Amino acid sequence: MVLEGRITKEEFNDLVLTLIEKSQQLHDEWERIEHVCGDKVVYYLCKRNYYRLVNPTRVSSNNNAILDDDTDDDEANDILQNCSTIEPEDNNCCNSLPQAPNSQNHQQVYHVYEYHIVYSPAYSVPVLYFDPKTTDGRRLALEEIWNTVNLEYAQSVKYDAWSFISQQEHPLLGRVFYFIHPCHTSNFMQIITGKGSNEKLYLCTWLSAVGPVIGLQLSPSYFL
Amino acid sequence: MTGENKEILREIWEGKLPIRFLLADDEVSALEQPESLYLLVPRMSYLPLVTDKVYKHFIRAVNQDCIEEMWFEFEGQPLKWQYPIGALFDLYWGNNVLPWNLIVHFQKFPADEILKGGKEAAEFHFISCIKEADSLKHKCHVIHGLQKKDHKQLWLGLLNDKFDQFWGVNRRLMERVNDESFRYVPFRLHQVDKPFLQELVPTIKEDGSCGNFGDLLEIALPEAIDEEGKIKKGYRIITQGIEIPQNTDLQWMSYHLSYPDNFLHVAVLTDT
Repeated sequence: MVLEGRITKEEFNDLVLTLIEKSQQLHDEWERIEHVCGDKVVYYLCKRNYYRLVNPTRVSSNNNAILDDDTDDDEANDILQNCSTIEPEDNNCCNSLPQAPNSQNHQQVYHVYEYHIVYSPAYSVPVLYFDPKTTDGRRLALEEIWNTVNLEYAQSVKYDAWSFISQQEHPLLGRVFYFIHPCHTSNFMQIITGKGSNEKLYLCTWLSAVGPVIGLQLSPSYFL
Repeated sequence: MTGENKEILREIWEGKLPIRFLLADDEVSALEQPESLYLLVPRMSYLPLVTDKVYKHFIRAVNQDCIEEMWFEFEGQPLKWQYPIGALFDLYWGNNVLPWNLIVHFQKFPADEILKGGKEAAEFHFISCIKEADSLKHKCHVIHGLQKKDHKQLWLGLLNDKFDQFWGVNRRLMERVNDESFRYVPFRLHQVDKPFLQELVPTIKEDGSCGNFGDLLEIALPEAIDEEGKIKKGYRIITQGIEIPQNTDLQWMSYHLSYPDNFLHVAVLTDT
């Protein structure tokens, strides 16, 4: 039972199975990984080689100004007007290989993401870890990730950037990933999943809330 | 259970380690290997916070065209600065000689193993750990009652080695809310070449009795415990430089032996 926006490990494992079933029907390429550590088994979800189209103008312009504490709202809005806007649909999930450069427009830029959904026993919520790289295999720096965050989200977290996305050791694999900090997850999940909502949709609901921040779209078909 | 023992808190806070820093041989571009630098560093702190002098001392001796973020290595092992220095020492030193000899690097930053960002990242990481610890202890009730200035006070207390400034806020994170013990103990078990272990371990067991360190090991590291419930031969389990008796009360341990990030960092050493 979802209490205060939180779930147990067992509930997470059940939700993982539900999501995997749907993913297979939709050919969406989520994998369920069984991680063995001593006599303990932990399950998590993984999606690899996810090509994310990133608007090259947006990537090359200096959007750090948006995240400055000094930038007042008017100035921020000016900057927003001048940037090419990224509608959520533009951050397309694109599981196929990147297209050849289009000579009519500017070259299309892709980043390659690996996403992991891991349960946090400390917060009793799922956590989204991700490893974003260029197509040459170079891991993105935090500033580059910020440049690709949907503009709406960037504005709302500009004063608290560090506490939103940062680097973290993957709790099972030990290597360095980025993650979206889970400390507010239970709060917003409590609001979103009110009474009468289908608890089986917790994971999909959560993913559709946090995923788009870093370009991960979830098909509405998951909710059918 | 028992009240706060301020003497122990002070002793733990004031723990220091002698370190000798030496520049990596293959990164020296000056005519001579610069002299090594000796520092006494706090166990409590993090490498990026206490190594400004190291940076200044060695930076001119390296090729100025390829300088990356400074990082440290012990006997081939890159040191993850995201763990407190005392935790790293307990895990890697291995009863070797003192001072602890560390190699300084400015190239080939091991980005898969060490977080980037130095001091700024360290502050965020520190607060992030404190939040997680409070989620375990108090379901975040205390941390949500703290303001940004309280976070800053914790950080500055650590950065500037000010015990009273730090504990002015930390005391609230260590409180028994509604007179209850911590829900779960924030801890990490570190082993060489493995990700750290972290499990939910309650301070009060199902039968209502107080949990102790032995109970924590049975949950998190059962392979280290024999049939009689004792730590097996060949295992040394250390925190804050000492082997903790298994009957140590967990609530007490969490209060007195945690690092400033509010976690117990325990090194598990094996003979193999």
